[in-house]
Amino acid sequence: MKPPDVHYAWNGDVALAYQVVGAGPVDLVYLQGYCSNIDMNWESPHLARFLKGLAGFGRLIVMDRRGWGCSDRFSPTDVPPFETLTDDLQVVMDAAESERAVIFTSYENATLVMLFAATHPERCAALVLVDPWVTWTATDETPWVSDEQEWDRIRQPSRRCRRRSPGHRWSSPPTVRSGSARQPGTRTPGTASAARDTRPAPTRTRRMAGAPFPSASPRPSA
Amino acid sequence: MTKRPETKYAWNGDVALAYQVFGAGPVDLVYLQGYTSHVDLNWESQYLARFLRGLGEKARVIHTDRRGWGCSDRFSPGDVAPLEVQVDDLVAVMDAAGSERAVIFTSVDTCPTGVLFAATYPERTAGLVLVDPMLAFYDTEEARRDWAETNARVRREWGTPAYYGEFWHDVRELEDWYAPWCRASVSPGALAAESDAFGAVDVREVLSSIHVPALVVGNSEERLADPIVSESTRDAYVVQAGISGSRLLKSPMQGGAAWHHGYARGAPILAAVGDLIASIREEQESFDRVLATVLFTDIVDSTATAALLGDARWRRLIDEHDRAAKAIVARYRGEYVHTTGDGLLATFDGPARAIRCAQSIIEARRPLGVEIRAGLHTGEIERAEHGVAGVGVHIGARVGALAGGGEVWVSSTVKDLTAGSGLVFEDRGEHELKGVPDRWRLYRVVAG
Repeated sequence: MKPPDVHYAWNGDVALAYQVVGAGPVDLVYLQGYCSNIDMNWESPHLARFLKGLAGFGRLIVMDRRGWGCSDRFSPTDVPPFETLTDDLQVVMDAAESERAVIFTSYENATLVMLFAATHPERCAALVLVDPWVTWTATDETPWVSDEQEWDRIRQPSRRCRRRSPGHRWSSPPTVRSGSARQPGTRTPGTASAARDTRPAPTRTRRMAGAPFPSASPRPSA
Repeated sequence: MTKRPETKYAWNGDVALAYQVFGAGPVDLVYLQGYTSHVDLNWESQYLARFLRGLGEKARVIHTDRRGWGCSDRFSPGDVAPLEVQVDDLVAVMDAAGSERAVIFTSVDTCPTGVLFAATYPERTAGLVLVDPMLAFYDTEEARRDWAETNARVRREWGTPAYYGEFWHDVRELEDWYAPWCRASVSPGALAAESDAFGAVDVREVLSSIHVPALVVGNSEERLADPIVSESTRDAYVVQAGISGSRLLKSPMQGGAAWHHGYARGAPILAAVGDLIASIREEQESFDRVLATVLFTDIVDSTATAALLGDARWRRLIDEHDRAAKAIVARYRGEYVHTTGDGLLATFDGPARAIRCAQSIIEARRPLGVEIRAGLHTGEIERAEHGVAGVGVHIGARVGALAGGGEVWVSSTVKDLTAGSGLVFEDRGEHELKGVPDRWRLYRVVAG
């Protein structure tokens, strides 16, 4: 199918790309983690079918976050703080004239979406968290997450990586890998590596645990 | 979709710069397309892919995206790098691709980078191609206002059909490909920020510092009549006038990417790039042409002597002769090139020393009962990877073949250049030399 038109919402100097598909009683914001390019997401028949399926439930707002896909990027030396990313989400919803939406997100974007939901509960109808990250660094509660040393080791190959899609060499994200590893230019290696350098401290996302609205966190299918 | 080459990354500090290497040819060519580019998706346009493949038939192409665009790392809209950083980026990409020297191909808004690179690193610039160059983004108050309006439009309409409707009416049929390609190449905040920052760039003063072969592609006059076109292409004429010895190709196009409108518009540019590469190669070869005196020696009646001595003794005699001759050539500051089986080829930068060398070789072998003859000519020769070549070498060989045992024969050029050396020549008349045009007056060296 012909991909929907791309629009840009502006947060100051930064353009954030989004598409609006379908119509219905509910708004649903789709913010895919690792990796995304809202133009090219439609080139995967599986992903396109999934998006069309979501659009069957309501008005679907598909967006790329800052630094990814069709949205403005940042310099490797200028990674924005997390609250800027939650502001961006609000800016896109404003531009798409969405007062309140179900927010569907996956993987590392779950951290920023949970932060958004806790900060702006009035704008979140519900959350869908697919294979969510709650922290970027190992804690007592999440010992399976990479610790500082492991991150150092992971960062290096990403800097040395010579392939087009650097991401798939860092680790194996089970839910998004098949759909995203082939997408050219969803992200560049310098920004990817830099983003890891400034990931938020684990305590910030822990507070999100008790979000006061319905949420679902489906298990990734094998 | 065309199969695209593997994309690799060169690093300039924290910033990754995407590049692809493909094709083969006598020179390297860095292809840095302006407005817009995405090294992966460039291959999805049949016209652009065909243009790129065409370049790959003429040169080893290093296809790269500049910082902020396509597959290379981007920048925050508030963090635009100065132009000289883009020049550094090109150095980093060339280093990573193992390119010492390359033709730099730029278009529209990457042309200032190409100009600055060629002026800063002439030793790494084999040539410069500037297609529809932008050099001074604005130089009048009116241009400044236009520029600001264009940037406002970028913020308002970039990536939407409205933006291309006016400027790109020729490519409307490509909209399905073109708009996503533009959106993937650059995002509007970064484009507007870069344009704001680069608006003040003016590299006109640098043009006179460029001393490399240059091709400038500008629009044809009929296209210049269109106000939209002329505004964006007038710089080509200024550039061509500013770079001494540069060639101007007039080609109908809109924007720098003439090849997007069909192959016919890209073809003349490809042909002109081919001409530029050919002239660069010719020039490189001329650097390897030097004036030298060539000396050929051989053993008189070698076939009869070999039969008389038998293979083993003949082999020993030849080896002994080669060793002695090499030493004598070195003593007269000549360069031993190779053996000819029963003789040698050597070159000298001075003809008198070459003659004395020939005489020494003949004298050294006479006690062994081996008669050697020698021929010399002074002319232009080409230093090739293995030995020397050129008509001057053939003349030396033909002159030597005419000499009798124990004789040194020379062309008139050698005689004329050795005046004052004390050498005495005997005129042996005019001769035709096999495979060489004209008649040649030859001389025998009789004393010295």
